[in-house]
Amino acid sequence: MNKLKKINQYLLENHPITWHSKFLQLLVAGIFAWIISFISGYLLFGLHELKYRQTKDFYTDSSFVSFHVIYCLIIICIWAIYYYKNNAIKSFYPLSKLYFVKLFTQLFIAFSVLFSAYYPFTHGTISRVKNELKINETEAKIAKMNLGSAFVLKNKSMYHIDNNKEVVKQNLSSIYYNDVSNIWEGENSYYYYPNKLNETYSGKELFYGDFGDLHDSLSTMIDNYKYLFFKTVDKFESSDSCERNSFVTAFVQLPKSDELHVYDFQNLNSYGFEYQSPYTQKSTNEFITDQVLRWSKNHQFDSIQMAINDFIDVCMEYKIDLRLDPRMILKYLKMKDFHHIESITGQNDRNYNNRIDADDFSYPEDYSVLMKYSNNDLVVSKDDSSAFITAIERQDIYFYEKDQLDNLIVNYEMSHTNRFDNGFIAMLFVGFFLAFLFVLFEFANIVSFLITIPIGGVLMILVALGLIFINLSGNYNFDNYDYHAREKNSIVFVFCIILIIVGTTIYGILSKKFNKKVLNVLVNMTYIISPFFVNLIFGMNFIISGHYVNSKCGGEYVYGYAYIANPFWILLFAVIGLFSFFPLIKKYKALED
Amino acid sequence: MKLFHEKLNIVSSHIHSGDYHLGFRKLVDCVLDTQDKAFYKLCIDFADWNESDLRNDAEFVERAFALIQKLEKATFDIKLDKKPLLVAENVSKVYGRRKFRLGDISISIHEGDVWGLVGENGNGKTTLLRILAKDLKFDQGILHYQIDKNASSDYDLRTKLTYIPQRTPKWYGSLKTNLKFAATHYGIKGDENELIVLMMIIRFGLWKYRNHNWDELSSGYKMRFELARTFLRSPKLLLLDEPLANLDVLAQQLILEDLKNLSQSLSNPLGIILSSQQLFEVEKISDKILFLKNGAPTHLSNANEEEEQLTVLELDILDSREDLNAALNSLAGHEIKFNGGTYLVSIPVKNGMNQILQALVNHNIQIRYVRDISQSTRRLFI
Repeated sequence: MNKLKKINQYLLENHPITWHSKFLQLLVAGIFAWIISFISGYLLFGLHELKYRQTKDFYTDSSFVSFHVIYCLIIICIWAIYYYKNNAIKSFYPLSKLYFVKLFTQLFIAFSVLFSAYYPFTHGTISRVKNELKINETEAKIAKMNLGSAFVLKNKSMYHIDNNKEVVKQNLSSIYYNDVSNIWEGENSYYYYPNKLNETYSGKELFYGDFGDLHDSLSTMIDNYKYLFFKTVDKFESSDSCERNSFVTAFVQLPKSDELHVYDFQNLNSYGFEYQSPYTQKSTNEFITDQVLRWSKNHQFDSIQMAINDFIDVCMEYKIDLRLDPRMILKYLKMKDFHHIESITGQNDRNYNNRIDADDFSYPEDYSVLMKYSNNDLVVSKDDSSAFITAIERQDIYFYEKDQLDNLIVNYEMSHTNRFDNGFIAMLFVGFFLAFLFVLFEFANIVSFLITIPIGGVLMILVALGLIFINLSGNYNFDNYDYHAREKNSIVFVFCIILIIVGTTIYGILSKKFNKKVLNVLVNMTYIISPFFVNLIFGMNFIISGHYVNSKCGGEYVYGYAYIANPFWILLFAVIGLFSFFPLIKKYKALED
Repeated sequence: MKLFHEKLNIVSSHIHSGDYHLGFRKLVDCVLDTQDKAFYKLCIDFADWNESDLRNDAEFVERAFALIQKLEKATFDIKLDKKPLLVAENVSKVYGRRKFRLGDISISIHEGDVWGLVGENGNGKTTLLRILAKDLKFDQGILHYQIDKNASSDYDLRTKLTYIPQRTPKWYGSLKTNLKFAATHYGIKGDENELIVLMMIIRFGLWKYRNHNWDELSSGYKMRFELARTFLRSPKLLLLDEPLANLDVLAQQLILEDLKNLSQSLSNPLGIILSSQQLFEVEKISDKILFLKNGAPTHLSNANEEEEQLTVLELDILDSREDLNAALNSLAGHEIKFNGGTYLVSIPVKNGMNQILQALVNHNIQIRYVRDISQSTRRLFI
């Protein structure tokens, strides 16, 4: 206690800003919050949470957030009482150089620490996960889960074995040659784009026609259909065309095998992430897929049963809700003959997300054969098996709660990849806002601030009316020139209003001609605007830089600058804007009434 | 150092006479004059003992003289030249709904000057002080500050202008903490901070109250705190608005004496302007008086020569006006006015108080109260 008093005394006698801001006390309260948060995160995230919650969201899901908010409010209330006890600027004490910068920085750091308990809390949960799910042990368990999950039913709501399967990730497109109609058929028309391998096919349409013969070397015979597999990219048809189309960039040649069936164009979904397995030096997907295929092909039912048993053991260890009978599942698999596979020509949007702009695309030089699935010859009479299959698939008999297992794995992944830092910037914004507010009340009069609120509100309504007026003119169409003109006019209008407020304030302070009460309101408004000012300049610059570039397709609207959306930059610009306001405060305070 | 030694002699005289409290305060003034930290330490030890239960008169005298002996050897720069601090030329301001006009005010304040600002309520005293403190704009005239030539901005100037309003703002935390906070901002840091703050606490008699809060202090001690805080700022010009309001008679005397003594510090003399309704007390310490009537300044020295030859007494008697008139019949040219409370008696003679009193005694007039207001602005009020 005596030491604390000495520290306090030392700060009072030597560092008045730090003493006034109670920076150390706030920091200690923040660090205490961090320690409590970390411990709470660690303790609260038990086995139950491992299955039902995710580390990155647990802070807001848990009751800790209420505790943290209440804690912060109490700390801020106590702190504010002490903070407002002394005020150098209102007493007209001499202020050190960069007084407000130092004060703001201290408050910003302290509040950011105080409010960023999310960070240590999540770290606590992650530490707990790391402790519960140690990397080497868990990798082995994930391998077992991957292996076992390929053969078991997933959960009550998705009660189909084919839930375990997913369309191949290589985004292959395909068309097939229909002997009956004597044409190539497919969902879309495709165009072959020139590449190094097959220059001769450039510009050919892969849809109808007689060019199938040309592709005999590339086609694959599957279930009596001649298939052509290829990768595509979306781009303009030609240099003078404005129409986008799917162009073939590479053909994929599958093995010519009697064992290949249409429904083999599937991949097995598996748990795990892109972590290099310590055992195989392969990605887990590859490892598991090989295993599953080999066992399926060779009818290694003992191995499959063992895999299911291992899967159940792992689930039991983490108390995942399940009801699984390995023998019955095996029987079901035998009856089902491992087949329940969607056609890859079915509707799916996976390709859409992987569209590549023509300009960004680089041509692959090497194409590997992607699929080598096998089929087994186990034949079960449909009549004998149908009742059993129906019972398994329709009734709520065998399942495991996939969501629980998913959460477990997501938490494991999260804890080893630390992909949760986005929340931290939000805490910096909270810190910024509070520091901004408390620095305002360091020099501003409460009454004048309260007057500023309705005046600012009226001004905002007027600005909104001005914007409506600007946007009412012309045809309202997002794509036309008028839209962009209005966009420019709107931002210039807003910027001009802000410039008038800021300019009037600066003039009022420097000229000393204004009524102090009017100036009080203007200063308050300018202070509130200041964090947006630099950001607004960049935003305006961005929008004004927008212009049409004439092209073959009738023009395209492009921007001269990149839009700054990174929150760190936005925060930095806000700080710069605020700091540029600070030199005005001393001049403003010195003005006579 | 002759002046300093004279001050020390006065201190010795007070202590010899048994006026320990007064002697101690003047001794502290002498210590402050030296601006020497070693003397500050000795003084603080002395004050600590003086406020303790161990205090006794004999030891007090012994310790005081020991300190005086040491102070006699002290050397420091004495500022004798009275530098000008503020010159106001024809400053005026019109304000309020009734377009009240203050001005034209022309004053010149130098180091060591004490100006009394008197006038009835609503005659512009506070407005003038706020104008001089750069807290309020004025319409016309010139204000020329010569306080700090290094002041780079108005804010810097305002840090040197110390204005204590009639209603001092509430402060929070302990008295000592607030003083230390002020001192730190004025560049008094580290050990020096503690020493100087304690010296101010001693000087303004706040030793027992140094850890008290605002709520725990009486009005007199709140004013003393304000003065202590102000003097920590080493002010050049001190502007006080009704500092005596809400103070008891003893506290008023103490504050005024302190102000007078501090204004005439040998090492750091300052100019003071104070407004007050306590005419006689203010007149006692002021070098100059500015009387404001309806916003216009009236200097007593403006009175004509004929008036200068007058003796004017303010008088309260148990007897009737007729008795008073009969008693003063022997004095040529006498005048009697009655304002409902007191009589104003004047005779066209300079320093004629004794003559009037003699006449009253001769007629056995029972005097309850008498004051010579020949040179007082009190005359301007009546």
